[in-house]
Amino acid sequence: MRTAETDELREFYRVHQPRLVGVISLLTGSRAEAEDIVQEAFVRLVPRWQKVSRYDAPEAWLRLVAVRLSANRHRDGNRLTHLFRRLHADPVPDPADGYAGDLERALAELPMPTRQVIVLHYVCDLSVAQVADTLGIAEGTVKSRLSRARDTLSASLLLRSDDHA
Amino acid sequence: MPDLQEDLRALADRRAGESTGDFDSVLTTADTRRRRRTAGLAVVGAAVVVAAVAVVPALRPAQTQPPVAASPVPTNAVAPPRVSVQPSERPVQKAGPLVLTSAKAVAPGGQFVASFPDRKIRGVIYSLASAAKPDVPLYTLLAEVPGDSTTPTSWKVTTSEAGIGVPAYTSAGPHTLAVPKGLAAGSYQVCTLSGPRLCGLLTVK
Repeated sequence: MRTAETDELREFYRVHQPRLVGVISLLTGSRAEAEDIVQEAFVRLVPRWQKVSRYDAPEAWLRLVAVRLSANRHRDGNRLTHLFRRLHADPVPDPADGYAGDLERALAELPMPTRQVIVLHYVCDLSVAQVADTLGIAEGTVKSRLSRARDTLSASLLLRSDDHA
Repeated sequence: MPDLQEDLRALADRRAGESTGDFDSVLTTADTRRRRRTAGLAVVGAAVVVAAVAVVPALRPAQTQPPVAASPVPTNAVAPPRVSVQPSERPVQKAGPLVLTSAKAVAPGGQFVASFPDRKIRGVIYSLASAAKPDVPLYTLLAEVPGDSTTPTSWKVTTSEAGIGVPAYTSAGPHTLAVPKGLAAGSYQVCTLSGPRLCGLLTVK
C-alpha cells in the first residue's frame, strides 16, 4: 500500500472508527466487543482499500462487514452459551447508567435480526428499502421487525421507568 | 418514534466517545495476514505441483486405447503423450524403403538395381534372406563397382568369408546387384549392410 493510500485510510479510520464502534456496540451490547469487531472489519478493508475507496460510500461497505461479523459472533456466542449454560451469568446492571442502561438492556433482549433492523434504521438512518437491501431481506420483513421492536422496547422501557420511579 | 431514535443515537454517540482504536495495529494485522496467505499459497502451489507430477503418469491411457482424435464422440480423455522411441542396439528392420527396380521378378544370375530413398552414402555390400525368415541371411551380395569386372557377385553366408575382399567403394546409389545363381524361386529380402539399414523385397522366378 502506498503512503498516500495509507494516509487516506488513516483519515478514514479516524473519522469512522468511533462512529462504527457506537453503532456496533448497540448490536453487541458491549463496547469492547464492538471495538474488536470494528478492528477486524478495518483489517479486512486494508487489502481492498484501493477498490472500496472508489465507492460512493466506503463506510457502508465497512458497516456491512461489521454488522455481519457481529451477527456471526452472536451466533457463535449463543452456541457457547448453550454449551456452558451453567457457567453463564446474566450481566449485572449498573444503576448509574439509568435510562441509557435500561435502553441498552432492552435492546440486548431483542433477537439479533431485530436489533440489526432497528440500529440500521434509527441510528444509521437507512430507509426501510436500504435496510432490506443491506441485510438481504424483504422490505415487509424489515417493517414487521421494526414494528415488533418498537412495541417491545416501549413496553420494556415503560416497565423499567416505573421501576425507577 | 423520534424519542427512541434520539435515545439510540445518543447511546451510540456515548459509546463512540468511549471508543479507543489503534490504526497501526490494523495495518500490522493486515500485513501479517497477507504474508501468511502468500506463504500458504506457495505451500499449496508446491503441493499441487508435486501431486500433479505424481498423478500424471497414472492418467496416461493404455497403449491399446484408440487415439482421442479417432473417437466417435468428443471426449475429455487426456491426449496420449508422445512416446519417444529410444534407438535399440540393432536398427529395426524395415522392408520396403529399399527400392529395387529393373526387375520385379528376376531369374537367378539376373541383375537388379537398388536405390536409396534417403540418398545416403553406403557401401556396396548387401544381405539376402528368405522373406519367410528374414533373420537368417542366405547370401552376401556385392554390388557392381565401376572398373571391377568381377562385380556384381555374391557368396553364401555359410561359406567362410575369410579372404573375401570387399571393395571400399561407396556411393549414394543406385547399385546394380546380381541374383545368386542356383537361388530357388521365391520371395527374398535384400538389405543394406552398410549405413542405415534399408530392405526391399525381391521376387526370384
